[in-house]
Amino acid sequence: MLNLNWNIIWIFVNIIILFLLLRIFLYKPVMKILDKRAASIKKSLDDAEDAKKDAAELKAKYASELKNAGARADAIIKEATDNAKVQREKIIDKAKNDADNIIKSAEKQVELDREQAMKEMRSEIADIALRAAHKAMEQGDVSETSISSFLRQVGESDD
Amino acid sequence: MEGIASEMYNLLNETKIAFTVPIFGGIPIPESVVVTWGIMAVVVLFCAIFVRGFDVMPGRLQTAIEMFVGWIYDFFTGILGEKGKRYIPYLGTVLIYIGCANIVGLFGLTPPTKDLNVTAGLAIMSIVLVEAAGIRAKGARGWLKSFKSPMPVMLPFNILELVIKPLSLCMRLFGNVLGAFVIMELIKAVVPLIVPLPFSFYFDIFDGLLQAYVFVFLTALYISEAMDTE
Repeated sequence: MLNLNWNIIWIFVNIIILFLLLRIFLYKPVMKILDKRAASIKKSLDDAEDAKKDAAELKAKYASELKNAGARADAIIKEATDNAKVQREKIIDKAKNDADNIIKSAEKQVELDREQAMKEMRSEIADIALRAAHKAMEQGDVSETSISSFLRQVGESDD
Repeated sequence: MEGIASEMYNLLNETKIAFTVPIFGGIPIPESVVVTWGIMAVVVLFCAIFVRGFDVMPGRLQTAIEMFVGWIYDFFTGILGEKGKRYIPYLGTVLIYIGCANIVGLFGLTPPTKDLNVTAGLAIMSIVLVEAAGIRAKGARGWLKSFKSPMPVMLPFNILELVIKPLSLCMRLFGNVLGAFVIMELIKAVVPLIVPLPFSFYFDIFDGLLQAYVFVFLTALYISEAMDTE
């Protein structure tokens, strides 16, 4: 027990062997698992951070898109209103033109009708005068008063 | 009393031979070596069986083993710093070995640390590691120069330290285990029943683990001191 001798070599050998074995069976696997766990935790945290960043980016994108959509809607409405205005003016112009044309053609017609009527009246009057004169000649009284009374008679009769 | 004294003297002087390997005219294997092999086998088998199934999601035993290894790493990193990380597995091995060796008495075996060859061997390995760490950290010239620091007058003392450090390591461990053994033998001789039990707990478990802790703690301290480039 108290003797120091060559048996000291045994402990060198044994400890070195134990050290090598423990390095293979204890330290390396345990450290590997600890590192792996640390890495996986770090990865999870990083992923979460990335996801958060992505979400924030998406949110900003959507917000800006929403804003753009509003602006675009405004533009569309404005365009539509403008179009409608132009269309309206066009339609009104056309209607005015049409109305003018109709009025003009109506006036023309009225003129024609009147001329026709005048012609007819003239021939009618001539006819009446002719008949009155004829009647007066038949009576033998060609004074102005008798002709005018005949004229009145013919004029008041239907034919 | 005479009987106990002579019995103890005989015990101290003999190297218990467990068996003899029948080659080269017989190589005697001391008992301490056989017990050491037993400890090695149990520890390595334990690790091989339980560490193999380790997963990222730990079970209860895995958590305990991880905590223990993590504690070893934290403890020695605290003393040695990041650059001393390479020495941690060796120190952990010695810690586990001395711890097991000291409590093996509980199972009725003779602690290997009660063999002076074992503690001396461990101490010699420690001082070799300490000086190797010094050479590694400072280079051969720096290591040689460190012997005359802080002033050249200290040279003989620094050289003496090469012997004193391992000697104190060796003797502290051996003395504690031997002292515990002697006291336990005396107590058993006086009161063989029940009374030795609490003493056994103190000497075999508490003191045994404490000495393992002290041994590696001091070795780590010496390494850190040797690596210290001022």
